[in-house]
Amino acid sequence: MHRIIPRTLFILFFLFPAPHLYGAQPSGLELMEKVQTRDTGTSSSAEVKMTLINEDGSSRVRQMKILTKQFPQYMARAISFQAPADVQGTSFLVHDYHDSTQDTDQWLYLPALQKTKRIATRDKSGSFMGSDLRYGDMDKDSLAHSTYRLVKEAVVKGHPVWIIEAIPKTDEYALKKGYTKSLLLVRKDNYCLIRSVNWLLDSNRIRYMDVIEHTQESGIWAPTRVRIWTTENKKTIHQTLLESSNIRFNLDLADELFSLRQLERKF
Amino acid sequence: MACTLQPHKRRSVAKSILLLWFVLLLCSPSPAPADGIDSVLEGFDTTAPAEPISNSTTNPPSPYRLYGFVDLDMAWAMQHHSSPSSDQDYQGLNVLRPLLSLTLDYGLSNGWYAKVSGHGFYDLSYTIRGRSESTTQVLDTYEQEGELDEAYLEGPLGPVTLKLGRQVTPWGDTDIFRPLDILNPIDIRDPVFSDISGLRLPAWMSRVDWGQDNRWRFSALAIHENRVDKLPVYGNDFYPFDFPLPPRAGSSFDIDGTGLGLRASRSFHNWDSTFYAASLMQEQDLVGITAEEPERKRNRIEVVGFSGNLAAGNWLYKADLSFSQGLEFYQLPGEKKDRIDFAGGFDYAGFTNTFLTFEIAYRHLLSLDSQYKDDQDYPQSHVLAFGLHYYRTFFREKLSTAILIQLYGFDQGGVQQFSCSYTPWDNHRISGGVMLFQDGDNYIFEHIGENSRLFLKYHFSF
Repeated sequence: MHRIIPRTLFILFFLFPAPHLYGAQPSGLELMEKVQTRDTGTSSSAEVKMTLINEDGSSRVRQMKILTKQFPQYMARAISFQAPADVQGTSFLVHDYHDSTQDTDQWLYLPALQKTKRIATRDKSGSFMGSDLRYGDMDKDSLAHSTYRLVKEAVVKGHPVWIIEAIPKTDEYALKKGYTKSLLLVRKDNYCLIRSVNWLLDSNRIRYMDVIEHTQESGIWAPTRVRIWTTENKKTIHQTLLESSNIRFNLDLADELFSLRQLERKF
Repeated sequence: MACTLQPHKRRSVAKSILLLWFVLLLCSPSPAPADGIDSVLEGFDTTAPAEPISNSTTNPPSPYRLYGFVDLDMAWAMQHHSSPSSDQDYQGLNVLRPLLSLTLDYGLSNGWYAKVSGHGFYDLSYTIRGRSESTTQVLDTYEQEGELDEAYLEGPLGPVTLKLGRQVTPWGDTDIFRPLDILNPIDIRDPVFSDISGLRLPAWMSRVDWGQDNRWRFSALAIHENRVDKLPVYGNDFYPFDFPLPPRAGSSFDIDGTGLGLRASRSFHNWDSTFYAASLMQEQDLVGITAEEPERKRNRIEVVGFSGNLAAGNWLYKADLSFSQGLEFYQLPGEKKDRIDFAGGFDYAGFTNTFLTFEIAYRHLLSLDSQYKDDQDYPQSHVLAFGLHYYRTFFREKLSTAILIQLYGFDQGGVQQFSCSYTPWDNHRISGGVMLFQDGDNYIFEHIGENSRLFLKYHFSF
């Protein structure tokens, strides 16, 4: 478990307007640059509930609290699991460097071990906490590692969108991300990603992501309800519902909240 | 048979192959079929499952939280065997133990926080097997227990953080051998259920931390309680002697026995480093103890050490190194020995849903007379150990498998554990497996080769 939790937690930031996930026109690359550079705040906090739903309808729930803050060299993310009881108290700290060629620093605190442990994971193609997300989904993307092509324009739920095709340039990057191709649907009015399709690596599975609810907090757009499901031969085999609440941006969060010492305490 | 096609026929074949290749290209799944996008996007409508009904309820913030777990542990000795301290046949049911653990967290004002936890169990296996088969020491130690675990206050005071009370403070970077993890005693009464989560026993300490992450961080502590390891007792099949141990010397709360520790650590991009220094009381190693000893002795040791780790891709390299002085042994009265301990290895996380750890440990007791080299009643001057831990999850983390192998030298003994855990629902876990022991020349492993166990455990968290 202590390997599983850490790498995956990146994905939770799916609920946040992570710069690399959102985007707009001329070329696909230029649109993705707009997505990456839109205002996402200097800090944030949110409570996230993740519901995993099996094909038979049975479900499991994970709840966590997430804090983020921009530092000069990296974005720090602190995550604390609050439910279920058997993972409660597990915490994770990530330093995601602005220079995407540098590996992230990651530390995990497991209450059962009462010990903070550094984690080293470059391969992020594994499932996050048993969900339809992959660890690589929330890792910072380097636009240089994929080709982006504006495929067409459309209207989704009343909003004009660009549809951008993204293909990893190398097998290594595809392996790291866990998929061979993506379609990204980006709203024209706010450069937010509202839908995506991923062709998963080494399988005939396709994963869909649909932002059901979006909200604006302190002038920053953030998805509050997201559904992700995986299909195989057009049949849904698993789905994940992400719901975030109490989203706040540009808070005056103390540096201490992102320290290893704090990791061992509740925040 | 040699190819004898005419040149024009060869060109024709080449053209055919080229055409076939072109057709295959057209028929193969294209990464970007513009006219296929619409059908894929239709999946948002045709494959979208019914939107689940959210049952999210936000509990009002509460300053306290009561939580815990219930375990039902069961172990079965696989082979007929006796032990040096008993002629009874241990084969059969060995553990049938419901265990309850409760913890209360309380958030105080100004960032302070209180925690109290305790546990209790009753092992029904002694009633089932017949209590008369067991020694008094075994019944006192294994049949039932109710104990306070952690109990501490923690919070900021100016630039420092205080943590006062009964607590666990792990040291070091390695995970299997942990030579620097010396501040808390351990519970190894029953090796089958001595997993890391319940291994360390909390002790009363006062701890103060200061410093920042991007600079050096310091931690100083005073250990007030000289708590000792919980070991197998006379009459248990893991107990290595044929006589009961004498009583322990001294009190748990002896001012003269106060231990001191200091740690300085710093994190860098991709690596961490930590320095340690400690002076603390430690119970003497039981090697060479005889029935004539009036009491089990303790003595003060001084330890300095270093630990570090380095992350590189999917690899995490880690090492602990310590130098201890002041060690005393029953068979070497009046002598104080120095010792070097090293443990190092790596974690590898490059396989999907898999975590692998490998460690090597080396212990060197300095200035030991070579005449004691192969004498089991004396400490060994060189001890080498190997450890391997494999962990993998399946079916979206509902099922996990684990293997833990520890070998001490090439002839000193070892332990292997193979287990599976299944989580049918959140908070419920069922684990089962087998734990195998190899006897060896080390006095602890000498008689446990037939102690192998099957085990089953149900765990419910709340």
